[in-house]
Amino acid sequence: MTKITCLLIFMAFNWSNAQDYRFGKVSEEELQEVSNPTDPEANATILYLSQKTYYDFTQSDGFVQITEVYQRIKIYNKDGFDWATEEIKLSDNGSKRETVSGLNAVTYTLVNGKIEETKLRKDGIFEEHNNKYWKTEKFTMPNIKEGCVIEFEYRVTSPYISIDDMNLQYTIPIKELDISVRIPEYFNFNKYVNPRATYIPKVNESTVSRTEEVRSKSRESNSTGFGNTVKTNFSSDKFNFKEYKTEIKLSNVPALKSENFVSNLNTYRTKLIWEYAFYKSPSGQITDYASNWDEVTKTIYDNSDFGSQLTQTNYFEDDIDALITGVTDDSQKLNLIYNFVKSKVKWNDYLGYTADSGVKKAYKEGVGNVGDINLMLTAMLRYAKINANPMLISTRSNDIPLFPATGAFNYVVAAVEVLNDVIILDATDKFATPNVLPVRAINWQGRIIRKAGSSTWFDLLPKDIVQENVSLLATINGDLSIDGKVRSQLTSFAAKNFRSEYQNFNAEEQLMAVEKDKGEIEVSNYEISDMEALNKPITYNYDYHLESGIEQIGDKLFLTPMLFFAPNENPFKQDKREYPVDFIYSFNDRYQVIMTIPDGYEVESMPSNSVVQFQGDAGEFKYIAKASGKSLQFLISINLNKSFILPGEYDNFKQFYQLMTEKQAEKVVLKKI
Amino acid sequence: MIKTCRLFFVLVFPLICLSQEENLVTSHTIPSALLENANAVVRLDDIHIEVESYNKMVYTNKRIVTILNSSGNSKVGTSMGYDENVSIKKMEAKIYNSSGEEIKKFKKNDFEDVSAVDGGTLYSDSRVKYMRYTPTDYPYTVVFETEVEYGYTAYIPRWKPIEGYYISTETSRYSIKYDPSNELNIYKNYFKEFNVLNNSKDGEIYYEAYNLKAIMHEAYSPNLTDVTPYAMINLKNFSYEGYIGNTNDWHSLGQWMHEQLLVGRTEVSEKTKSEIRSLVANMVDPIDKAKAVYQYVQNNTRYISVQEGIGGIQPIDALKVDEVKYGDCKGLSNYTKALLDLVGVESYYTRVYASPDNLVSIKNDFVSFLGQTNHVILNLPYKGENIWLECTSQTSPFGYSANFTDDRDVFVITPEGGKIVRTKVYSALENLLDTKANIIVTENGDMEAKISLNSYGTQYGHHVGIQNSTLKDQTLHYKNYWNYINNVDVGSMTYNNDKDSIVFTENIELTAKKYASQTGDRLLLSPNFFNVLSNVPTRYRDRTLPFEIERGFYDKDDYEISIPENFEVEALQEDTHIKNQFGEYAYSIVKKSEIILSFKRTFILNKGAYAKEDYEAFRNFWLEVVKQDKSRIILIKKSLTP
Repeated sequence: MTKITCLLIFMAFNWSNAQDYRFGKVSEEELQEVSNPTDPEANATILYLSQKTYYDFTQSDGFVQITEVYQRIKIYNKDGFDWATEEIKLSDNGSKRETVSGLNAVTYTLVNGKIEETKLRKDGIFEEHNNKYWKTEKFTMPNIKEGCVIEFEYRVTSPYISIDDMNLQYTIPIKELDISVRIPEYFNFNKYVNPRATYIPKVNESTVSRTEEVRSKSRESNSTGFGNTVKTNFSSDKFNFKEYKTEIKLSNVPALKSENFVSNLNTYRTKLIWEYAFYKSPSGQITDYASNWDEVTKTIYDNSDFGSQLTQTNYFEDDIDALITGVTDDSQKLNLIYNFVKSKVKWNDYLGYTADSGVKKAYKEGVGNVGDINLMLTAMLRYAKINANPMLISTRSNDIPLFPATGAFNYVVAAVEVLNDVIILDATDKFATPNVLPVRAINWQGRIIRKAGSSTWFDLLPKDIVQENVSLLATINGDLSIDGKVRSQLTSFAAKNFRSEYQNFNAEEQLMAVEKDKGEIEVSNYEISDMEALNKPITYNYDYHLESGIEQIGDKLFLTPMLFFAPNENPFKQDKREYPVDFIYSFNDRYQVIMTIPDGYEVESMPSNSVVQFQGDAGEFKYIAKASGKSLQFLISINLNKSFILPGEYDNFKQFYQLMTEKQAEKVVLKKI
Repeated sequence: MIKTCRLFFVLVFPLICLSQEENLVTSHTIPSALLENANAVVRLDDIHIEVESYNKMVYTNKRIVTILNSSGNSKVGTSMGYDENVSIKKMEAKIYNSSGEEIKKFKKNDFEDVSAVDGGTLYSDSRVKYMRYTPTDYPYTVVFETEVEYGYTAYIPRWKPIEGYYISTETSRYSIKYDPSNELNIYKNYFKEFNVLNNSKDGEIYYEAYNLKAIMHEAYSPNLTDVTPYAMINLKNFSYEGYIGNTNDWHSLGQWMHEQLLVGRTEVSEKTKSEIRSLVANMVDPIDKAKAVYQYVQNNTRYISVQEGIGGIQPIDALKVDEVKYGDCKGLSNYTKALLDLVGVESYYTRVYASPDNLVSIKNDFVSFLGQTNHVILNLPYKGENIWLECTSQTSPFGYSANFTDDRDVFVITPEGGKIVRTKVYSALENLLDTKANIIVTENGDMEAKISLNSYGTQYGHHVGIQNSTLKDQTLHYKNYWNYINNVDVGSMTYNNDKDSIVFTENIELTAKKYASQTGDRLLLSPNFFNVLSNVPTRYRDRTLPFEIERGFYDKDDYEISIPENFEVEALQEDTHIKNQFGEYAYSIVKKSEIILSFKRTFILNKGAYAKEDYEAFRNFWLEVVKQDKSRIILIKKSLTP
């Protein structure tokens, strides 16, 4: 008896201290809070987030997915007002419609020490039909003021079995998070937490049992002497099954902070990703969707929009025969076919590893999605007896495919396995070349799916070192202007970028582009070669007249040997980084400068020779200067062999860039004789 | 004679039309002058509007456009917006390859249909149908035909034969049939200069333009509609969402709007009334009262945009804003007006075209109900001056309109009638950035500085935002603000936002290693530590458009520099002073003592509109400043032997 009392007292005590997270139980303390104690810069905080996902069973529809959401959000200041608007994206596709019900929302404010409630009314709720597939249910809360707390709850009913990714982190902190998912044993999911997130949650799993009732109806007809009678039997069966339960309870989830040089912040968000793996019917029969890599591969191959797209050849045979007739060299065939597909079928901006229109139609119409184009390319290469396979990729805007899941991918390219190497081809980009993919597709690793059903990872990090060679001639005139020539060569990604920037420029626009940010310069005789010859580097040269490249102080002249090629600033200004810096590819920039100084001057000082390194030879900067009479020569090279810099390496890397920037800005000093 | 000509024209027209159309869908028939600077060529744009009654008009358009390259895709113009009162009766497109063979066809249902809610709006009932097409080859030609029925006549689609930059026009035709008893307001611009044919007569508008060359975009250009042919046309008697009004003059239009759309929408709750009354209880000065009300609105409301039906024009009831505490520009302005009414301060609902970049004025000589404005503010006349209130901002100082609604003609609606009024002009001298600094330079070239920046006018608006960023972003901001200084380490950052006098103060302490470069016994350093002009305006070999500086500014710098004691000055620059029509620049560095230098700089850029011929001089002025701003002085180590 005593024990029980103690326990009761303890519980009551505990209760009074803890925040009550039932709807409507907003406390004065919550309303009085002026900033988040663990993150004072936060404009708002999710005080409580609860999401329950489960499958209701109804006689008519079977299992229906229900998601109940409830949030309580504290808004500290005006910059946090955006959190008073909530948008729910819903599938609105034909008969498969998701619906929202039970929306209930209240704003709480503290007025003279009393809590005031303002309810969301119908006129604050809007339904936007985005297009024929989606709609968005939106609402914005009334009476929002600095310091207020809002609460909302709603329920989404979905005819789909698959579960959307669950965000466990937002750009504001979360005080308490409570997620629970219950899935009947028939639906089997793989789930994983985004491995690139910096905040890793604990996930609890358990199994519970559940009972549902199924009513069935049967009819009997009896022939008797009195004619036919029909009897309807109603029976009701109980069936028991297991449910897999996943629970995540978290306190003080830090905010997801944005940072420069991050292409997609979502890549680093803590979230739970669900992949529908297989269905097991009550009788034990299994329908696989994806569970391990072999299954994923098989599932994808068995998909008629994928596998069979690779085996159709009749539609192109004549054209390909004509194209490669007499050609025996494989690499020549490969290039011919690759260029043929690029010119024949244009990308319609839709992603996807499966064919949208189907390869045949895409071929005929000259338009297709990624799947159409690159599966067609793979099929043609195979037809030409080249060992080509599709490689599945997840684009930068998607996520990183680390786990066996069909949904992990949204892109496909053609991969040709040759001795110890793989050549990757993407025909969706006009300026892409073998192994030089559009940036969207360069994301971690791709999965090659071979004919026999085996599959393997392939690192997508470009191995080529992108070369940019510049030779700069400069003659300093008596009036301290400079005349000279530039000749430059760009390979691989640098050439690709150049081609796509310049593709639609007329002569005038070309000149404006090259003169940009080069000071008081006038460029003439600008010639660009091999704009169209994609397998060659871009080469360009021009003459220039630079009016003010030299600084005169007293009887001395100061100038930077690299002139307008010298960087003005170190782009890396942050002291610390949360996420990696991604250069996409390694590069080697070389500047060779030959400078002639004017009569009546001699060198007073030259920049010293120097070498700066980052992590051994991961990065190397070399600066060599030499003067002989009136001719000064400089050789400056920047090698970056590592294109992905981790936060832990950032500090050294920043210093490397700093030294490099300073050195490139160093001046030659000339003095009057 | 003229009549016969026209008759002839009309008779032969259908024939020409047929053979012409065949011609127009192939790309090799484009006159070569139209290919220059063009990513797309409008072969034909034929707009015809039939005003059937005061509340119904039918718009038909046939458009043939050849897209020359991938940059031209955005010029295809194959979309059409609609809503409850605008219905698309016909919409189809055909695509032709360069030799004029039809390769694809879009029927009405083949167009994508999406909601047209833009980023800043929570909800709107507008939708748009557009063609989603992936070109398989360039050039290609699109023939696009639409017929759209409007359930109102308040806005008639305009004519802009040069549609934008990098697009030329072979033929553009614009005609309106209307009942001559319902007169028109007509605004037309640059017709003569571009040889626009005007065959209008009673009951019909007819404009035609040919062979308009593509224009390249150039920096500091005016709005294209102010330098190329442009026509806006209105019916004097119009309808909109069941309202019937007229655009005889601004005065009566304003009166009508006041009576039809504004009056009776300024009631607020008793609770708010008593709050407001107690707020101003001890105030006498109307400006004090207005400030208190403005502050109240800023503290209690926020901007949410919902545009539905007449709600696109009429403000939601003040009582509604009072209840939900949000509204769009119309709703919040009307609410503020309601509260100002309560305290006896007169204010007027004002329609304006708000834009940070281009100062767009309502055309005084073209009275219109729709299409010339996109925003609402409040006008508060006080002692012969005008105060302008931006009611959608929760932070803006009272009466601050720089960078958004300043210096333009707006439509002020009073109970007595409407009028066109110029908003506040922020003069160059008002837009001051006053930078002061105390700097210590050490003998190895490092520097340490205490800087204060005081910003006013337009520059206040550019600077004030930083105080709300995170500490990390503030630090990064100053490193970028002074990006030409390497190795900046930002120490303390403190701010003062004086909303009454509208001055923002930033006090920054920073250090930078090796600011001065060392060569032998010398230190070279730029005495202009903290305000270096860069970004030279683009050079154009042959500028085609005039240019304008829309807002002037004034930068004033005053630094005191302590040099290391064992150094002395070897060389200083002579004072520089430049003054011309574009502005003024002064630079001076003087020795105040053996180790103290004083640096002063002034840069004033005037507001102004200039002919294209002046551009080079403007650029040269700029270059001169850039060069001087970067120049350096020499300090030399004192020799040990005297």
